[in-house]
Amino acid sequence: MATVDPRALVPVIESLEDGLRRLQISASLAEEDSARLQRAIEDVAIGAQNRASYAFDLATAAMTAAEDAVSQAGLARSEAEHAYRSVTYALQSARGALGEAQAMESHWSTQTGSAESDLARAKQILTDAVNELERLLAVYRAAVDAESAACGAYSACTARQYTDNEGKRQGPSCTWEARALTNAQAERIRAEQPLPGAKAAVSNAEGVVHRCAARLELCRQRLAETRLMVDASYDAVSLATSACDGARDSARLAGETETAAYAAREVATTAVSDATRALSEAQNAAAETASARAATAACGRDIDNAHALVRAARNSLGDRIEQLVQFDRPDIRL
Amino acid sequence: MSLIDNLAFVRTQQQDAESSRVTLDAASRRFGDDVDAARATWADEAARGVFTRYVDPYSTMLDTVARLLRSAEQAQSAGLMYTQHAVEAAEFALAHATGAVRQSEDIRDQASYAMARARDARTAGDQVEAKVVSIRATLAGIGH
Repeated sequence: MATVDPRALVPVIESLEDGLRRLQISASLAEEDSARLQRAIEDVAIGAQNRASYAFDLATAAMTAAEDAVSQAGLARSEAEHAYRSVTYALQSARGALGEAQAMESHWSTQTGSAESDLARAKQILTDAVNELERLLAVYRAAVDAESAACGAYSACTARQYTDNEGKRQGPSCTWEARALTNAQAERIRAEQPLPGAKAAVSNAEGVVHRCAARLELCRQRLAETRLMVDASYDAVSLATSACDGARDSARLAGETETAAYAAREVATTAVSDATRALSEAQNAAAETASARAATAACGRDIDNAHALVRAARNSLGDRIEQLVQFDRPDIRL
Repeated sequence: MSLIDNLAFVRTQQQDAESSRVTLDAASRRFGDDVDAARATWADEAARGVFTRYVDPYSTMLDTVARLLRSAEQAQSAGLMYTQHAVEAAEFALAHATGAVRQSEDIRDQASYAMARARDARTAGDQVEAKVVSIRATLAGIGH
């Protein structure tokens, strides 16, 4: 073994000491970076776990909403089908009512026409009766006038008669006037005879006209009322048709919605499955990061031990340098 | 910052850690070279005592540290891979769940609308029925 001046070893030991210092720094940096990386990975893993939990909650909410949607869509479809049956029946009823109203309108229209015809005929009969009465009255008035004239002539004739001293009637005989008066009276009596019948006929005709007018008024009123019902029936048919369209649309919409709701439930089921898988992945990541944490902690512990060792080594090397620097006998080996 | 952004940041840190470990490996090798040079220069009993007592255990420990660092690096790499999978799965599940919630709520609203339409139709049908009853009563009142 070569014998050297121990002081010549000072640079060697200083070099070793420097090497140890650099190593210590490098090891510390590597350990710190590793620990920082570990914390960052754990932070992200925790974030992923939180995100997966949130996704699971959301997917569960989606499933609940989808179940609600399926249930509501089913109810809506049932309601729509019921509504469709109901409005279809209502439409049939409305059409039936329209038919009845139209039949009644036709009936009252016929009745009104008949009543108008009856009234016109009654009015004609009344006119005829009135004309007949007026004619008879004219005849009667002429007979009265003739009777009055005959009576005047007879009175004038008899006024010219007188009784002579012997008690005999003198003057015109007035036979002709008397006959004429008798004839006029007979004529007036004859003219007078049909008058009550004619008046009764007029009265009867007036009664018939009145009754026909009343019936016509009634028929017109009924006709107006039935027309209102026809209009109301048309409205009902229109409303029912519209309701029927609405019910058909709502049934179609409800059917589509139910199909979509089942699809949404499938999507929600898949979302729950995805979220469950994400949770599982997050748990795996947590387990792996825990394993990495253990490795990092072990590394940290060894680095600490190494630091302690290097501190001791450096101190010892430092002491040895001191000893070597102060040594002045190169023949003595340290 | 999103989890994806966090992952990118972690990747940067992973590169930093790997770089530090590589630096430590290089420093270890340099130190080993220095130690070999020192052994060649200083080969007496005292030197052996110094090396045996102070340097060799440290070298051994450095080996252990390097091994542990690599082990930690591998574990962290695996953890990061799993974490990335978890992040991707969570983001995918979240997007899917968000879409599912929106879809389900939309369908639920649509079902409510369909229900309202059906009820309107049914109410209209009831009104028609009532009207028809009224019409028939009026027609019966009018008579023939």
